[in-house]
Amino acid sequence: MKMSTVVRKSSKIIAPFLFTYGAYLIIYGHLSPGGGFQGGVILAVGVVLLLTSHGYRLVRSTFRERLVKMIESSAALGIVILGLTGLIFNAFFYNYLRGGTIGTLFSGGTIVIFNILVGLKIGTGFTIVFYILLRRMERD
Amino acid sequence: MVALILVLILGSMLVTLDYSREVNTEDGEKPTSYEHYVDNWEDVGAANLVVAVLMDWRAYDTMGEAIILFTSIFGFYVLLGGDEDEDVDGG
Repeated sequence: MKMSTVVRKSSKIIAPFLFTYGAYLIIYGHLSPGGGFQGGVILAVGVVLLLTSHGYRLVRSTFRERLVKMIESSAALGIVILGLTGLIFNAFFYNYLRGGTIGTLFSGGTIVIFNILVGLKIGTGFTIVFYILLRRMERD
Repeated sequence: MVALILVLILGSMLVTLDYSREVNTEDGEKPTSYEHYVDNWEDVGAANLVVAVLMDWRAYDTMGEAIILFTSIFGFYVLLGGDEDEDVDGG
């Protein structure tokens, strides 16, 4: 499952841009169009692009499945913990870090953290799904 | 037959909902959720209205979606995952 040199080289060039763009969409999601879900999907697409061009084995030795699973689970836990810490201040998912003028990065408060956690969760989640499906395909 | 009746009842309910965006505040009616979001979205601190709805007012929804994805990955593992010890090159 390896594609030609041209495809491999160009996907190697494009993938870092995809990761950067996904991270930008996640972190600046509350200021510009984007958000955790969209950015997370783009992160997963970067991995899928490398999977299609370089094959399953090489990509999995770079993005270790154990690490991906750990990030996914801890992001899910982090979302719930973020909601529960809001309970201390006022209510579940209360935005207790709100502040600053609108338009700056820190005006979102917990929204930024929530976006980052959701983005990590979605990105790693879809990566795991593709890993499982590809592993199944290679076995058959 | 029962399913058809239920579908028809639910469908007529959804069709006849009030989708108008007009607010009759002089009649003492409460503003609709649309008006509330558009009027108060600066409270959230986000410059993006969609994110303000998704991550603040409807944060439960977003968390539920994340949990749905978690559950689906769980299902993937149970049905297709199988041998995890295939991580030959060390993990």
